[in-house]
Amino acid sequence: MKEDRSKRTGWRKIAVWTLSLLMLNVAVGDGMLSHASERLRDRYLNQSGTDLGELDVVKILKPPYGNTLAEYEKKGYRPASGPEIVIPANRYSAYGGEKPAEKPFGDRSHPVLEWHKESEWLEWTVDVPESGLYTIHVDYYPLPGKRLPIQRELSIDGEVPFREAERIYFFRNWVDRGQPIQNNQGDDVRPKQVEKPVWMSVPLVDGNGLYPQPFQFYFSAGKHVIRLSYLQEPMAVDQIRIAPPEQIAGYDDVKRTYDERGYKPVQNVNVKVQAEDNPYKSDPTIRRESNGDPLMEPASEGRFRLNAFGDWRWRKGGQKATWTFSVPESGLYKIGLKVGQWWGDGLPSYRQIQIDGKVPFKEFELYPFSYSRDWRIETLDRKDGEPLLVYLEKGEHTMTLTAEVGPYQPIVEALTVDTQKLADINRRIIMITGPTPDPNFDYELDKRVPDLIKDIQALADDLGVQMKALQSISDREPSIVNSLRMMKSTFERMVKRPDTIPLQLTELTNSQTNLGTWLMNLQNQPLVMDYFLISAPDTKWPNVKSNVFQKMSSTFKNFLASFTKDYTGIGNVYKGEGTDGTVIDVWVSRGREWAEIMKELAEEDFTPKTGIRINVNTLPAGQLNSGTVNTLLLAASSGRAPDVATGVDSTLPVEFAIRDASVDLTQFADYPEVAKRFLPGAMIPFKYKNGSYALPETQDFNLLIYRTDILKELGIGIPQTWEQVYEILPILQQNGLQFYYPPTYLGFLPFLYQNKGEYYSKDGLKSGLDSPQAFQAFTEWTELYTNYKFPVIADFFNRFRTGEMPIGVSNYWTYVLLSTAAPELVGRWGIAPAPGHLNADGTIDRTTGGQLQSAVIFKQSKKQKEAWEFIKWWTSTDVQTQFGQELEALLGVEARWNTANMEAFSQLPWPEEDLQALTEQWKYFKEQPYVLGGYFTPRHIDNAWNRVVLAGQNTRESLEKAVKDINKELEAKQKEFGVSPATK
Amino acid sequence: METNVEIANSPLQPSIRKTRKLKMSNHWKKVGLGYLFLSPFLILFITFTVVPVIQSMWLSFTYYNMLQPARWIGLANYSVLFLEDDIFLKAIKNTVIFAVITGPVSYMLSFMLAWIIDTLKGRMLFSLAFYVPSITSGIALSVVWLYIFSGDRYGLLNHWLLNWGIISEPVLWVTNTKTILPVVMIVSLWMSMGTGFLVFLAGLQNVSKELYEAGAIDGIANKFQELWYITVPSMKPQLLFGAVNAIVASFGVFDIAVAMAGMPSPNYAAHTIISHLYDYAFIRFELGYASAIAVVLFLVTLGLGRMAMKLFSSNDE
Repeated sequence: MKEDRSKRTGWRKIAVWTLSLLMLNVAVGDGMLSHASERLRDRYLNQSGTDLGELDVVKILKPPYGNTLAEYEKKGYRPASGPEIVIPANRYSAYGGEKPAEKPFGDRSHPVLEWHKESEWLEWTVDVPESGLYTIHVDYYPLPGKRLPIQRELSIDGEVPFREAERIYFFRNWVDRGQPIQNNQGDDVRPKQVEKPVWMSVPLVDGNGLYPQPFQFYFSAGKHVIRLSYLQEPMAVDQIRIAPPEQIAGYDDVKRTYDERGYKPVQNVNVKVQAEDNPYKSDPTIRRESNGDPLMEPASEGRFRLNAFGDWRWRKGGQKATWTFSVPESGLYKIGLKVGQWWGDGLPSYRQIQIDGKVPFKEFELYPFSYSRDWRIETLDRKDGEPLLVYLEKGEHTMTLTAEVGPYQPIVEALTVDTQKLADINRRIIMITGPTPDPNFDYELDKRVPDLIKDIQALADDLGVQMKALQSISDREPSIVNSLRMMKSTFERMVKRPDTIPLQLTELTNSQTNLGTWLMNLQNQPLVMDYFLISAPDTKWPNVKSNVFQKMSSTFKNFLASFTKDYTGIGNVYKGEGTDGTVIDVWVSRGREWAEIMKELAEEDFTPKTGIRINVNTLPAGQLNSGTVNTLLLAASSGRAPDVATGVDSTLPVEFAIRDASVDLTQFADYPEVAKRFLPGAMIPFKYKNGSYALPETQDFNLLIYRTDILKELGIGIPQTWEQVYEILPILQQNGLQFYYPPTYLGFLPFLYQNKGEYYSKDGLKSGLDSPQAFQAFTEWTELYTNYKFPVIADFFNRFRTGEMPIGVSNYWTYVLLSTAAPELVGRWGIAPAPGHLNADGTIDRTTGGQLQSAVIFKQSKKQKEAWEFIKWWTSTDVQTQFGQELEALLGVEARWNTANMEAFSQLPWPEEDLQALTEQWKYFKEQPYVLGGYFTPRHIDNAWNRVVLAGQNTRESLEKAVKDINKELEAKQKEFGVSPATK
Repeated sequence: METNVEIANSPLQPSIRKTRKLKMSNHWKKVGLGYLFLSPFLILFITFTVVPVIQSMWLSFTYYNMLQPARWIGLANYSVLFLEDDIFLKAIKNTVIFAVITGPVSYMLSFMLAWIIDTLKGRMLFSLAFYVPSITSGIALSVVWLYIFSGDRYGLLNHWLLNWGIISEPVLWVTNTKTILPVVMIVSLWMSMGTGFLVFLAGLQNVSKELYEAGAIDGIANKFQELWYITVPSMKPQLLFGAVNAIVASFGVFDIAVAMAGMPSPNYAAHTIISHLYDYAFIRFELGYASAIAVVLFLVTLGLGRMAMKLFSSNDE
């Protein structure tokens, strides 16, 4: 035992010594490092050759409407009274750009102002008789455009009064084109969304449903100038009215007036309106939906029935739908909605309910629909259970439901500020500690970062406030509250022990990501509705919650139907017999929605024009990529290939061409015409032996994405060339920040092409990577990771949000993600063309590639001409534009269609400044060619990279080995297909 | 056949015929019923296993790219495979390293675990916990493992190691050629508690309790002696099954390697025989060559299986 103990103490001694030595080493090493790097920073700070002027001054965000309104109240501004002021829109006092035309529209016969893009802004002068708060109403008529909501910016006397006024929405009016028809599988086909322009008279209100009441603007007595500036989409404007805000009475007051006027409840009336029955909608994405519950009207019975309205798509604030109904007699009615709200985690959804365009009483302004797992008939009532009765005259009426963010708005606003603060704190810490803090070093953050502890404490306190606010809204504890509580306790721990902060950097980052996600979730207000009832107050409504047996029987029916139903086909399935005419089979390797829209467009446009019908089948996305067990290949080998496949990986068409399985499109006389739709660089991978074997559908691209706020703070501009990138790197790294560049072989392409290298020799028989240019490119590329220590693997999207990687080259997908899923970054990032190499003549070569998806025709097809007609139609500008718009209307901006058709691309709703960067980048698009055995090129470029960066091999040796391997495979393949090998 | 014969016969010798027929049909009844019960399996086994194996043997002598008809080229595939293909050698090397380490380790591990769990109270619970990974899809699980082995400094393992100060910059576990194979091995070990493990568990429960009592009387002193002298010998069949299973599984490793390291893996670091086969079949469209690889793999596994059988059943049979 004794011996044992002494042994143990011995070990302990050694451990202590090693530890202290290690610490000493770390401390000293760190000190030296920071001195060296400080000098480095000084050296580079003023020499950075990038142009600072390129960065826009980050737009200082206006305060939100909530704050402005609170300020009005503080200043004692009162709602005005008196009559409204009507300004005919064509009496504008000034305009920018072209003078707008005047013409009658819709059911108004007098000429009204027609406002197109060419007129940049219009101003009206108004004489206000009395100081006070006013609302502004506009009579407008949407004119045909890109199918987007109309947007204008409002300013009063040259100043935008609050943030929301920077973007005022005027919604279009959408309806289904008719009742759903049934296809030959017995499923409902969703009718197309068409715009039905009507004159609309609306108060200016927040288009995102953040505030239920119309905006109030303060006007002092006297003359004022109201200016609307064009942002997007044309409209006709008849009048602008400035009116005192309407005061909405509470139900008690309204009830008193009912009694005074002697309104009586009606008897024995029960009007039912199916919600899916074609309401007017502000947004084409809210639409008929399908629900499988057995008590739905109509029930689905194993088929696809469009029997409900709204669902998850009806979640964005501001989306509204209006139903028309009529009642047989005048009197008081109660209203019941058969709804479901089973999304989220216990937070209610809000709707504003308007009858005949007006909110009848305060209770309907923000009506909560609480969370529940089952369908229910929600009687519109007060919290005490007394139904809210509405007086309706005999005849037609409308009911409008508008999704409102409502009470979440202040919370969202506060959390947005918190997220930004958090990002800021995070960045301030990283600038001291670097992204990988040394756990054994005390950074003394509380001393080196001023106010750090105070800020973290403030953040924790605010989270507490928001938690309370959320708890008071919902019936039970939603999970967001738990999440906030965890963050709060983390922050409080940090405050207590500042020395642990570097160890908890990840938690800061995670908190930020979490907050961002919750921010998006909080603004979702989904609701699904089956029907609504307008009934006599004593009517008893049925129970609509289906029981277990009903559910079981409906599930069983679905199960039985699954034996006979073809789930892969989309819409009508044609057999190609009798009256069907020519039918071609099209395989789509995308989601069902994509295929559905394609099918709808084809039935509407393609079949009437050409008489050719198409059958569409979906395949899981990615199944048509090369290098997977490929369904197309299997189908082709069993002789059952489709006529056309779309969504095909860009290397597959040539692989098939080599084996005589795909059709050479150049044999069609109009191929050169069609090819002009695409960038020449995008056609390269489809070429083989003078033929071309596919048309591109979508196209990825690389862009430089940067954080304006951080770059500005660091005083660096947007690098145009790689030289400039190298110059800003020391500044970034000094601050613990990094540059992102994708490490796969795709990252090699820009370097190769910008150095004027080529992948293959002219005849495509030998690798071109043995050229000095290729070696230069390979060296530059690998040095990014060896010399400049770019991170090899990093989640760029998240680190961009936290600010650790404020700049990087990434692809289209990241761009879309940032536009849709990073609400806290709005206005704080931008895109630019990717950095390039300086040419001899002073221009910059920015060549990059991007992955393509394509459409191919199979040789096995007996209808190649028809198939060609189809892909010609499919890739045409009009169809691609429409497809892109419908897709975005259906699935949101997340699904923006990056079509390869150049003209269609520019017609999609890109923000103006982004489109500039995108089109600039497109000029330099060039993909890599594909040859016999071409799959070895990316493989061995990756391998060569791996040997250099990870195994430390000599660059030249590694590249030479790669060239040797590639050439060997090329030769083998050439032998296989009887092509005479390249002469050595 | 039989009925035909009967009709054609003259009615003069009915008795002899009848007895013979009776005998035949008796025999047929006995065997036929057996075959009848066997037939569902047999039909499926022949159509989906035997025929494809034979077909792929035939294909291994042809040039076949799936899109054009197969062309007979004799032994060319094999000569290339054994004489020219250096990546195949690498694949064999990887597979053998993999098999030599994971095969026995997973085998012993599942036996030891089964043995330990067998003595525990919540046996069902534990065995489920160990069995679940093997029935879950490897691809799905690799998501979890990829998070652990992510080369990012936020990858779980990297994060810990960085925090503890063991490494100073993140290790690219599934990109660095030195670490790929070990990582794949660890993951597949974790997932290998499959059928073999269950069979061991069942086998352990089958060992007669009397044997242990008898052993105790005969002077067995501890659990390990019990294990060695009683449990192992009475579990021969299960051990054999487990061994064959482990060998086949470790030679067939592919899914996990691809999910963790990609296809093809960096510098072929996790390139196994099946990866090689897949590479040729679905990336290079050389099905004939891929079939040749398959045949070689088939023979190797068959041979090893035979060896395992010899090893484990030499005493009894």
